[in-house]
Amino acid sequence: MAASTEAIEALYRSRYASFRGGMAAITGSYETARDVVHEAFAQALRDREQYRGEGSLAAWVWRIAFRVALGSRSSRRRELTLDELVAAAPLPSPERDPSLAEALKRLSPQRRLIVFLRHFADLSYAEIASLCEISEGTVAATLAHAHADLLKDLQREEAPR
Amino acid sequence: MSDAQMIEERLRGFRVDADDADWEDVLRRAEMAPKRVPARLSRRRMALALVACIAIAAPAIVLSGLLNSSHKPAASTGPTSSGCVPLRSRLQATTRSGQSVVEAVGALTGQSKTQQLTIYHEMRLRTVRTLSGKTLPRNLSGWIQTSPQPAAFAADAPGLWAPDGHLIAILTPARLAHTPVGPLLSIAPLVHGNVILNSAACWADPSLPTSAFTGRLQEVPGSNAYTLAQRAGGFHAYPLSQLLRLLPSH
Repeated sequence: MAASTEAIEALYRSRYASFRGGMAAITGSYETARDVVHEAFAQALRDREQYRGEGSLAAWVWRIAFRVALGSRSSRRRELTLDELVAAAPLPSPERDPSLAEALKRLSPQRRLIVFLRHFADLSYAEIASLCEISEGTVAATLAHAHADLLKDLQREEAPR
Repeated sequence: MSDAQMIEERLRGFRVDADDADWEDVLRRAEMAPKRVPARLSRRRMALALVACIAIAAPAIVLSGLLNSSHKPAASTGPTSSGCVPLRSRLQATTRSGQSVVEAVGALTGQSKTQQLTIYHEMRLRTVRTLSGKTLPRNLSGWIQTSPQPAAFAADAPGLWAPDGHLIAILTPARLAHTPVGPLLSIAPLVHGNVILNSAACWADPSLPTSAFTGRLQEVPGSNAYTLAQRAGGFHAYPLSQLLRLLPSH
């Protein structure tokens, strides 16, 4: 079951902003994110015969995009893991909300990733669950914990001294 | 505004909306020639295509979200689906897809070939018993594909096999796999008459009644498949005798 060029193009046209937002959170730049997303879709086109219908086409391309992002951030000496990539994610435009940017840095990599996928890539709970191989309940719980952590951090940072 | 809404609102503040999508750039990177569109009509056609895409994609996305959230299988002791097509459906489609399902004893030969972004590891299979599909010889070689980077998700990781080499495999012939190296193998461990279901290479199906499995398994060196599969739902034993009933020839 190969993916058709038309299906990949339709996915690109309907979800480009979502991919770009998610990758921007990880690469720290919308320009780099655009590059990563375009390279990921180009790889999807080249490897479309390898799509076996194991999961959604969107999840397959997301995984390619993560691999491209990992490749772009790994050094020749050492390859990063996804956790390391997310832990080191610089976040685009931190100056827009420095307190929140700092609070995001303090989240665990798993919580950060799910926050990025939800709020930067606009993915549904079901899509995040499928992509991260966890249940939707875990997505909801992780997001709730992440929001609570962020709120606690912000209240501490922004409390009048 | 609740605290949660306030956080969500502030998170959205980092987003930058920009209309810089460019499908033709993707085609160029893929070394595929963009379709030629008459210049005078291109903008209008693009606008129409975009409207059509939104009209088609928006309900589909909403529907897919609804289906995903409401179409959960009944409570099960099986592994999580990990975004994979459930094993039952995969097995049912094998014969129709020209694939064979076999039981065998496998060992990596140490040979590997790299093509584009894929590394193929050769595995020698002996005492092959064809369970469904075209009957295969008792001894054969197949290839397990991995990416140069360790997989980030279990579904992308290559399959595992038993410490003594026992495994069950879905073999895709080279002509159907579109690879120059040879037939492709998707494998799962076979331990004491049980297939060990797990998310690596999508050998998972939450609808099957299984029992938890703990024990050593073999993986392609450096693939991290065992750890990823363990994190993504763990390992679940399912009797081979039951699995045979899921195959198309039974």
